[in-house]
Amino acid sequence: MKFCKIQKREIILLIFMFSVTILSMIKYFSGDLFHKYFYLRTYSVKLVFEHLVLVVFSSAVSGFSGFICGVLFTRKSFKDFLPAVNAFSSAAQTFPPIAVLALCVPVLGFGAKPTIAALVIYGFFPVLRSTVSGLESVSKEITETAKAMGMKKNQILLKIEIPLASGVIIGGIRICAVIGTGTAALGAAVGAGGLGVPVISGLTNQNYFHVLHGGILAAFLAVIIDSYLEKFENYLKKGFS
Amino acid sequence: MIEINSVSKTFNGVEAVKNISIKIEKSEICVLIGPSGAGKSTLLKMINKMVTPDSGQIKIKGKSVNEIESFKLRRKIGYVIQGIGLFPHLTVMENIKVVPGLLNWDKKRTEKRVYELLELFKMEPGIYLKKYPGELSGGEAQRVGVARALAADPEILLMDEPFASLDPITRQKLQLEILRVQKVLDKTIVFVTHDIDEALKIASKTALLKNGRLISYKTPYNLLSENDEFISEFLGSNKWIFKLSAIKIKQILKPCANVLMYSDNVPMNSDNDFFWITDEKKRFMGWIDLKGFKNRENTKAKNLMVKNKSFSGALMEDSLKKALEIIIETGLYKLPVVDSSGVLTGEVMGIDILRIQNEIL
Repeated sequence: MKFCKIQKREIILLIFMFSVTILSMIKYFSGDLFHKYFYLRTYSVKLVFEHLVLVVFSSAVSGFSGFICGVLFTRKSFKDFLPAVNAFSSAAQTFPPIAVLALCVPVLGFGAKPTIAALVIYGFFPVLRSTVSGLESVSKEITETAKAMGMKKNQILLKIEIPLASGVIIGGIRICAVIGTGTAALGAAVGAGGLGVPVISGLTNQNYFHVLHGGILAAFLAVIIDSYLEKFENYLKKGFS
Repeated sequence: MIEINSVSKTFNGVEAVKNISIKIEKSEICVLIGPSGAGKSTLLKMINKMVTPDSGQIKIKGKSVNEIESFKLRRKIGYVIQGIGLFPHLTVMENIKVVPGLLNWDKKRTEKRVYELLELFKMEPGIYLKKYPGELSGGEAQRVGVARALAADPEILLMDEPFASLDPITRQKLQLEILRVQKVLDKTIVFVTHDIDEALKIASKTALLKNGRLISYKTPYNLLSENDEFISEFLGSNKWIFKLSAIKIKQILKPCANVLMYSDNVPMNSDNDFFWITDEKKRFMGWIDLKGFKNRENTKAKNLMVKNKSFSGALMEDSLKKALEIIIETGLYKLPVVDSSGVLTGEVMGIDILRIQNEIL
């Protein structure tokens, strides 16, 4: 019976960890022998780890800053800016990620820094938008009641508004992390490492096995991150639909 | 208890409340009634400073509300709104705990209070405490809403059309429950409604509002006696029915003339044909009508007793309108009146009700 409880996301995670281990072992035991079929210049574990660092770090920064800004722009004193912020964030999201990356390189140089900067900028807006819409969706009746019961403004925010909006906010962070996982692969072009490395190398050497190696692992990673954040989102939403 | 002194409020050029003065005594249920847009809710919200009046002032226990910090004031006043108003992400327990939590009550005291309140509303704590508002029916949610407002034992309870979204049966039940709770806890209640039936049922004073003005502030019965055009219009053509619903049975209650215990013998040579039957604890059981029995043998009362399973007597708090309904339903010409534990306390003659109705007409 216990086996039945293992969800799809656990199976995907297991397959992913298994294949990364196998790829790393091939590299360890055979050196460059199968380099034609697999990207073996670095350990796949290392690539995944670099990729994760990029995604987690940038998502954390953009999640945090987007959330804070979202809360700020829905407060009474900053509410006048809200339409402008909404318009700007819609426009900003139409900007392609590769362009953001290209603009960051002259400022920050090569390596992980411009990639993280680009990911932060790009992930910031989905979180901002979802925070705003999450907080706006809390019915006025409920905040009024909270006020009438004698809650102060910060108590209403912390005890009522944020918990009620948390599902939607996590939804935004989820989008930010998934976009980030895909976009982080571009970072390899500016020397940030990660799963983009085999993709770029495969493209320059016309070896599509390498492209698939990086691409499939990155896709897997995106699915895994997404499903675990979804689990978290459902957990937060549970009980008050 | 609450003194409202010539308050006015204008919203975007519209005068929502115009120079209203009301004095609400302790333990009163003051109902603010009027058509929508009459300024009832605005007036109510001024009491807990959710709305600040442009002019005039409000005093609670002789102290102006302006001298008390808003959040401190609100924690001392219970507030119930229409619809749910419960926090959907908190369980019933957590919802009720909110205000005690804000007042930093210790855990034991808070939990004791939660259990007390649920018992007061006859809700099984084991079943309800862990539930989320989404899992409750409308009536249950509203009960929890009232319990939450009463959590910190406030002296004043403000209710803004609390039962408007409930079905008629649940609404009636809750109205009676409010009356019962008010009697037990002795709170001062300000209640907003646009339902005249509801107002007459629960009010000890009614304030009729129209376009932000106070038309009259009287007991429900006196409100109905007024010859104002707007009042007649507001009540419609059924004024006498409303009048009957404004009078409680206990106001015309008479002591019972003939009562028998169920184990007594039916008296042989009595002029009376009709007896109420009670059990040994004086609880109402049924009645005997001897008109049909020419041969009065020496029988026990319980053998001749007529019983109606669905009818256990009228309550003291019931209105004459309800009494009239029961008379039509049961075919009795007088009604047994019982208290909340079922003890027979008196009777109401159908003829008395008709006499009152004639006076009204």
